[in-house]
Amino acid sequence: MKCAVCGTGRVILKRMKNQEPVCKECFLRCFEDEVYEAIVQSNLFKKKEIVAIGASGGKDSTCLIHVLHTINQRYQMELDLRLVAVDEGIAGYRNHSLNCVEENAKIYGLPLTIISFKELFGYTMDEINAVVGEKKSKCTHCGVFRRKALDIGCEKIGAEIIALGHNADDIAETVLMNLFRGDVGRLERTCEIRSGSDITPDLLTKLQEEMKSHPAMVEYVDQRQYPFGLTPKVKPFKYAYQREIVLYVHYLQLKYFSVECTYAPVSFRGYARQFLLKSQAIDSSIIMNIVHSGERMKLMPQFANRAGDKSIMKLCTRCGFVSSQHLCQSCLLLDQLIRDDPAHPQNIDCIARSAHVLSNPLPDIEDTGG
Amino acid sequence: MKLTLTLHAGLESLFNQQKKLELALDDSITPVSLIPWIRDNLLSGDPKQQLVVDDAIRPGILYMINDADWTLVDADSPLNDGDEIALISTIHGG
Ligand code: SF4
Ligand SMILES: [Zn+2]
Ligand SMILES: [Zn+2]
Repeated sequence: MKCAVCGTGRVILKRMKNQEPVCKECFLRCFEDEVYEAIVQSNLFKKKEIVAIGASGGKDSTCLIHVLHTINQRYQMELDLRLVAVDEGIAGYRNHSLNCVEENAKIYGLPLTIISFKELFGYTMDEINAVVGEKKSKCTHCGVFRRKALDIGCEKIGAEIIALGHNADDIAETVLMNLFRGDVGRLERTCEIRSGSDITPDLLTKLQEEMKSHPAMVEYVDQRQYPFGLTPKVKPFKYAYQREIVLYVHYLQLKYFSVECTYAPVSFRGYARQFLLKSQAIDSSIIMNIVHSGERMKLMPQFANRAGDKSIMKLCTRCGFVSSQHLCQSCLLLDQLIRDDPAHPQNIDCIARSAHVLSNPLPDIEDTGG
Repeated sequence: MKLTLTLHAGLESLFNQQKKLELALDDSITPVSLIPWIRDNLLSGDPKQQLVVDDAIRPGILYMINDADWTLVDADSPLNDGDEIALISTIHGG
């Protein structure tokens, strides 16, 4: 059996999408070109644009950095690629994975900005763990704070778009989880290759108006097209299979970190994942079938409203991030933490902290304890 | 026959953190029989089920022989001296 692309190479795998046998060189090249095609087809980036890449040190983001860097040069995309990483403060996990990110930044010569929870919120995840207790899941705090940190990171480097390493398997998993939980309101957003299709121009104008009279936001009105919290996220790996990402990274011997987070729960997601892995063994097209199904599902209007009416979005009265309530989730969680924390760290002023983190160069923020 | 076995993406944790092992095997070992052999001779306790399910490699773990997916080689003819086996988890991290 010879490679179906070049006709001569030694076959090393069959492609997930069509079972075509390919050699190593053709696989690597096809994988890169397919990501490029997805980017072009969905018009994800503009020439000269500053593009933040969310870097975690894991296989997906490591692969994304390599592929974007490669096709940026091959196809003269002229993107200004920069890495943004979040340091949640999880000892034994994030510090090691950040070493990988730092190495990659050096290898590709891409500038790296690290935003830490401690700096931004006054707490590391390890400290949050101590406050909320071993038994409760930490992932809500982590996820909400990470989204905010990524947006701040983008602002810091002047990017109004961020590329994330979510792959087809991740998306299929999330679709299944939404179905399992009856959380159908999220289905449409889950499958988007670019976030924000549900943000109408009217809503954007309304939010921009609000920025003008918001004390924490007024200085950004002229600099930003999107309010904080709505920085577009794109998924260039939407059509890439996890299996092929792992192989790509393996063949090129890219450095990545693969240890599970200390706080990773025995989750629902794990259940969905096992189910998908087993199904995939029977039929490899299952992943993409789920992604395509998710893409085509649209909520009937009477349910769409209930599931998440975007028109009620406003700015968090405190920090100015987009929110559906007076206070955004991040500010609410932080208030709750401070209430529950016997050590009562004084003056966690998230606006001052954001401003601090955003001002260049980074000054040291005095440790307020906690 | 002698083979090398390398472990990637967290699987080394099932093998006492060893990333590379040299294996000396019976000449009749095939790609199919290698997997239960690894389970019975190299693993003990929980790692057995974490690597092998129903005598085959667990779904979500890639099994490569000389860089090629194992399903591409003849499953029932013996492995060759010097073959490089790699096991790679696709499940962890991200
Ligand atoms: S598993 Fe760890 S890194 Fe992931 S969301 Fe939970 S606490 Fe954060
Ligand atoms: Zn080829
Ligand atoms: Zn807020």
